[in-house]
Amino acid sequence: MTPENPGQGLAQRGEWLKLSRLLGKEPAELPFLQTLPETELRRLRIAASEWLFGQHQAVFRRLAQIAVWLPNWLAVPLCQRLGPLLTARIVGHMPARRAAAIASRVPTPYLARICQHLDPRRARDLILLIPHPLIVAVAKEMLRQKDYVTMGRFVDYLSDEAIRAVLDAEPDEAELLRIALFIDSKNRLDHVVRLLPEERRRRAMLLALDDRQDLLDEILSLVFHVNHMLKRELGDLAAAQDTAVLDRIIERVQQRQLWGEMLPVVASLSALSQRKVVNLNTLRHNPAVIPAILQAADEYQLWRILLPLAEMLDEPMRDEFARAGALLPTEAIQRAAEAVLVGELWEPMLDLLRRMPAQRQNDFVGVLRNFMGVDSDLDRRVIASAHAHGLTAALQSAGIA
Amino acid sequence: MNNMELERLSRRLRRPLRSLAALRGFSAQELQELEQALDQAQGHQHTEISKALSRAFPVFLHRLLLGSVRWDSP
Repeated sequence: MTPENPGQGLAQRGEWLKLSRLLGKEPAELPFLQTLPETELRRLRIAASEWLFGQHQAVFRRLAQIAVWLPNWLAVPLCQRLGPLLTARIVGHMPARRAAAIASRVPTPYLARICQHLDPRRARDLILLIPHPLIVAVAKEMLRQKDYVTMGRFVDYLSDEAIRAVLDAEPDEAELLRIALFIDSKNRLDHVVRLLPEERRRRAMLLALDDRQDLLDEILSLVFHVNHMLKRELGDLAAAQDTAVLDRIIERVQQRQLWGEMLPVVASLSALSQRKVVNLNTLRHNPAVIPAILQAADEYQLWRILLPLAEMLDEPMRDEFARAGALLPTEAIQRAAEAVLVGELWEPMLDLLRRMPAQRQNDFVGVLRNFMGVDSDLDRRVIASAHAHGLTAALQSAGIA
Repeated sequence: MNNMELERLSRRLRRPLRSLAALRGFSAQELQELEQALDQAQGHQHTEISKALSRAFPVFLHRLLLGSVRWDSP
């Protein structure tokens, strides 16, 4: 995880699974890989994939040259005899139009098996030439086999029309969520979610209510990776549910330590939803939750997102946040102060500060003193506000009037 | 500590060392495990393709079709 790319927990796990699968292993057999961030795992997967796919090129090229001249009645049984792996490798060297003509005559279950071994980046043109009914048939076969990883790998390379055809053909939103977890490009994920009618997006989010099938990871991954407007739409939908559902979500985020991804979602909610979420009792009940939120805000430079939310907190919750904030290291206080300065977040910060022990107040005001003397208007406003929040003693101890 | 393993991995994947910088945190043993996994994936791919070729073509046809193209062990 990097500060530029906060909390990539779920996407990271998806990449770990994809890389392990490429190497023919279970993720648990390569446990050390789970420490790599998502982007690095993807880079390693692409390198390993290019290395594997790059072998024996001369053989595949020669076989492709031969296959091009075979009539379909001979090419189709031959590719079945060659097996899905070798066929997938040869396809990458064939003219897309010829490969598409053969594909349309190959039995669907076998096509689905070929796709498992195909690198969609090497078959872009072919994928675009496959008729939509065939894409839908292959997608259904993959769903039957629960092969969400392969489906996710192909989404980046399908046209909008093809994706719409698959979405229309698959009525179960739970299945769509499972595929979404493995979509390579998160920009594409955002676009695909938009292709889904609003009512179906709603139904997908409401699956969070269904505790018979655990889809919280899939739902969270979706909400984390869509843009601000969709975060708000989907997040408000979730926030409108019973607090028991929200408690489950909070519990999962805490369990997986996904606060770096969750805070931007909460920040994008409507004010009403924000107030409901930030004052959930479950935040208070588990003593590890609020420190984890503050730690994520510091680690991923999210103070400018977290502090405005502090204005939505009720009084007891503000006390809880101040109590946890008082335990942060001095460097974290320094970073929070910088965010306060840049984002003009004096009110929520000073309100939390007044609830902290005198030593912590002194630390913060000490940091403030370094910022002073540049903008006299700002200095006056901050000093007045600090006095108003009862921080006079801290100002005096820092030698600020 | 793990420089040798990293360099070997970089040569194998044909990637500059700097692009594998994230793997520096791994121990030599972990890098060896990764390399073994790559070996096994390569071996599996080779076996599968070998079997497929023998299944599809009798030896004489195999030679005829592939001619001078080499089909070596990995």
